[in-house]
Amino acid sequence: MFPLVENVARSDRPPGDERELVERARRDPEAFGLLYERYVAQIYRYLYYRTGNPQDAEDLTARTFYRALEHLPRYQERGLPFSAWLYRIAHNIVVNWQRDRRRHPVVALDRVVTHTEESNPQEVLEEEEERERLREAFRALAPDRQELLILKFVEGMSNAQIGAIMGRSEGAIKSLYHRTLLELKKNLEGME
Amino acid sequence: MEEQEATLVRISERLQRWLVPVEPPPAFTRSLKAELIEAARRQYQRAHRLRRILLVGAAVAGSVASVAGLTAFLILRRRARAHPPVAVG
Repeated sequence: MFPLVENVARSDRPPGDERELVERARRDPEAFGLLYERYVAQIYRYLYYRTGNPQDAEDLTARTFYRALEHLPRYQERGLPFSAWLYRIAHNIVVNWQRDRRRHPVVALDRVVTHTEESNPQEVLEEEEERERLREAFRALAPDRQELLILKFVEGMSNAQIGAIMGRSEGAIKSLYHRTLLELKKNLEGME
Repeated sequence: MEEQEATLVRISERLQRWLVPVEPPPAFTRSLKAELIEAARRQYQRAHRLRRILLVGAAVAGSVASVAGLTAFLILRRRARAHPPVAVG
């Protein structure tokens, strides 16, 4: 089993440790490998929910870390966690990817409904329809709102941690979360 | 108002059920790590070579400037000796 290091948001790792590792990673390939191990799962999860399928999530995760490696010599720590920088890179990559997809639309394979023999077909269909509506409502949100929901539900981050990643105050995140739920409600009502 | 709050709670519960943590496939993370470390090694070697080239270039430029300065000084001194200034008066 690949030893993934628990993500920084869920640990009490001191920021000094991260700073030191980033400094080492500027000249030591193995240290860059450790940084990668620390954040790969987080970035993958983020991209998985932004793209909606594992293949694209893998592709964009690889692009994110290659770009991080290329730009690491120019990285400047500004009091934010290193993951904030990685999320920015991933965000920019996914925005470009979505723009390209709009120009050349393709049907994602994960949209094909699969279910086990034991499950009730009616329930499976209803569940899948509900998931699909939620997925559509989620995709209609602005990128920063999608990011907020992923960090909150997938990564289990607090408003303060999300604020540190997104460069906003805790209060601003709380308010954005409320507005996001209202927008989701509106989007879901529009689909019914 | 209460009804709206209840709806929002229901939506957040639906989100909680849908937005679950997923893990990248171990084979993918392993192979990407190996590729990245190799790419990092190449990138650092290139940067190291570039720094060495710049250092050697700067040393050569400095040496050339020193030799040119010394040569200019010797030429000027020889000229000064060949044509000493004439005393006035």
